[in-house]
Amino acid sequence: MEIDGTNLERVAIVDDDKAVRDAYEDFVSELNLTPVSEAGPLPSLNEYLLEVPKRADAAICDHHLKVQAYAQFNGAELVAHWYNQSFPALLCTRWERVNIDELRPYRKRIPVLLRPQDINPDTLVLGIEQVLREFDGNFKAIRKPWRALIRIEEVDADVNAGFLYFVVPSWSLNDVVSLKLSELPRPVLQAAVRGKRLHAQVNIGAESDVDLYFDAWETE
Amino acid sequence: MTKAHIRFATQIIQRLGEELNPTPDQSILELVKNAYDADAHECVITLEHVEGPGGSITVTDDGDGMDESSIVNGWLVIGASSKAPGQRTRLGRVRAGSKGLGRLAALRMGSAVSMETRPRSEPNLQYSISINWAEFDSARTVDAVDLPLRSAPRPEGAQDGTSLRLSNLKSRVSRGDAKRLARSLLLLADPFPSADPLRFKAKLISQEYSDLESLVKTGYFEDADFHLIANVDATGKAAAQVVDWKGATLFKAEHGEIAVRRGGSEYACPPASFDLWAFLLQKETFATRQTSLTEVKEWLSAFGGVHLYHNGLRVAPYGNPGNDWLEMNLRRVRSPEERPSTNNSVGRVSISSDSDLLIQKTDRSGFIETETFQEIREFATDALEWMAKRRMEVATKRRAQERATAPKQVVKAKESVQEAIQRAPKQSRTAIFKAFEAYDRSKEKEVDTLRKEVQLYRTLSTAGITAATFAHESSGSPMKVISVAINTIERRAQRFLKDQYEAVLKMPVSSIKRAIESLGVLSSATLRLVDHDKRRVGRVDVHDVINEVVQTFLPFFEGRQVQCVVDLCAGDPYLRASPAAIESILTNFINNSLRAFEVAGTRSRQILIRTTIVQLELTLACLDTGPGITDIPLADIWLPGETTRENGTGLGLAIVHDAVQDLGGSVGAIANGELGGAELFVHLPILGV
Repeated sequence: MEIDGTNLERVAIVDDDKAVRDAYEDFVSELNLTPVSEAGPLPSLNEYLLEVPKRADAAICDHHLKVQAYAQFNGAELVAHWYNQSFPALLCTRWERVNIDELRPYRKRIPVLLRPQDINPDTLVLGIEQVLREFDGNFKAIRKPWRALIRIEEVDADVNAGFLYFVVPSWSLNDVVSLKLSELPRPVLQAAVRGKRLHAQVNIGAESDVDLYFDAWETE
Repeated sequence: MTKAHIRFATQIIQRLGEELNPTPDQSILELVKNAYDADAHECVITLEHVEGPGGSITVTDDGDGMDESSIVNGWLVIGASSKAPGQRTRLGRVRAGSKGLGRLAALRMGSAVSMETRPRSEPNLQYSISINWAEFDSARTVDAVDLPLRSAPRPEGAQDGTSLRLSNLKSRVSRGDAKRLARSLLLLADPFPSADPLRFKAKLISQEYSDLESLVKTGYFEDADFHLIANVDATGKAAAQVVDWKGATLFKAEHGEIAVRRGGSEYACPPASFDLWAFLLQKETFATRQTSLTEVKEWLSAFGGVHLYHNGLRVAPYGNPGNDWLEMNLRRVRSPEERPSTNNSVGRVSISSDSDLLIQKTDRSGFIETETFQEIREFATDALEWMAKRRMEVATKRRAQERATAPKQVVKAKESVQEAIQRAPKQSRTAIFKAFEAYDRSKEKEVDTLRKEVQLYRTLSTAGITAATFAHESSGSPMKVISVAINTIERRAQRFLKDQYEAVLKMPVSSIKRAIESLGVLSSATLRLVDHDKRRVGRVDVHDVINEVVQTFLPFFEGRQVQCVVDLCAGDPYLRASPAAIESILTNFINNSLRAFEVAGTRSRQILIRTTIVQLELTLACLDTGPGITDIPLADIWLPGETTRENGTGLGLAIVHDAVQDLGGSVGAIANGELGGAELFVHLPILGV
């Protein structure tokens, strides 16, 4: 199968549950593609990042890979690293609002986030197509980064789970967005005080705060 | 063939000089560092007529001076060091001055520079040189200006050293600049206890310096409540201890305990030590000491913060006012008792290294953030974290001890009351005794109730934590497997059964899909309650919270055949609270109604949620068609532990009562309201609509 000029034959399936992997295999086979089921335990992130692209042309990946000791890293991290390597991967997971903070640091490099009930042969193809387009610099409106002003509302500094709360006026005047302090670049952390205004690259076309990402912070 | 050369226009001097060193104090410090590199013991800075432009600065040291070659091949060469890298000075100092860019900036402060130097290597000679910057303005390239270097016999008694005078200053040196300079000079060579007594000293002849000098000399280190002493050795292993103000060791740790956050791996940095003197700035702490709280506060405001010393010399801006490179203030926000901040502590991190692992930025704004520097910072923050945890441990033990000793204190107090009663006149003694006994009984009852209430809160918290854990788990794998599997069944069945699918399998498959969605809502609802966003205090739009809660409860309503009507007043009333507080009010009201329907077997089940506003007071009411409030006095429903239901906790409405009280509002109830069942309501002051 050719998607957006890229030849696609094998799709790796990364999930700690065999039943889920089997189900995804079905979707992949339906598209006349070869499923590559990844039985765990997986090696280190650095090794695995390079291994999979040798045996597959794309991947579907679950987020919670550490629960059953299937891997020592989570899926968001893996998909984001693959993005850097221009290897197309879809993150497919049941997430709740409380998981957003976990995903947000990687969100810029996770173009497609699917829920398990939404995955089928059509969404699989469309998703990979979207990722490949991003590799070529063609962003969907909801993913396109813009330089945006960020107004800090509160710095809740807890040693274990501190959060930065802020508003992105060009995205929404009324919604407060949060980011884990531990995920912020050090200069931002040092500049972060209530009322301070900073800039960052933000996909202000995002329809929900779940899809928002923040990158290239400017503190001056 | 013609040989060509790259030459530099004179404007480059301006670029390199003025634009790299932004403040006068930083520029002068560069000259002082040159004195340090020349093995001077003392360097004296004199400011003359600097209140306005046109003043002058003289920097004199008693170092080794320079001979002709050092001036021509070193001092006058900008951008390269005349010394081999790693080469130490005669006194074994690691050189602090960089490649002369800082010096250039300093020399450019005035319109002219004159330098006189008496080299140690030539005891009978002295050299002098003058630079008039105006000559550079008219020249095309830097090397086109001749600078006459004069030598002369040294006057009798003249000691080795260098004197540099910057005259006709382009701008004034303000009092603020002078104060900053004085502080930087005092802190430049480690003034902390245990520093080398023969260390290099830089002195500014000014009032600001004298004031600060007496302050730094006083030193209040001995008044510190905690002194953290930590170090990392050449193998990257750390050790730390905390001593109290009497010098007794409170806590001690080896590497594994300090580096716990990095899994015990070694710090990839040169040997370093970290001292931090932390003060409990409370009146009670200083009540019995000779030093006053005000004195210590003044001292800390002048010198507080954690300073960084590299090979014995301070590196700015670490420890400057507003610089919190170890993020102490950020960490302190949550637990002020156990953590020091830059306002109540003073400290130093000292690093010794000959190598180029730590490189200062060209504009002297600190070290380049290399891995080595980050490792040093991590070592220091880990040591701070370790100290905070140990102090927290002590605080927890102290609180436990206070709880344990409290009953003994009560018994003692009771005995003394009884003794006092015995001393009372005989005729009133019995009456007082009885009154005291009655008081004692009611107090005991109150304590007992509170104890039970605390236990109930703990039990419910545990139930909440367990529910959240299960919700996490069920929202993960099992539900995902069902979701994906049913999709597979649907697709395969459609493929194989074709037209028969609709009649044979469509309905059960749809039922499973709907059930999965409902299950998903159950776990989402539970997890939503523990979302950190919900506990943040800020502007809360009450109607938004109501709509969200009702949305969450929809599957519950459907499952129990409850019709929920939301009747909200016009506008968007808002107040300052946490969304969790408003949510807990409505959630408990709804839970109450749902339980009442179930217990009474109510057939026609309706809940009405209504808001009304009178002036700036919002009334949020929840009415139902249940049996109403029976078997309990109306006022008692808000009391903790009061419930008319089997297995009820009696905490729901007590939580509502507490939450509303925190928000400055009031609660109310009607046994049989408009819909026939209970009508519970709260009045809340709002900020606007």
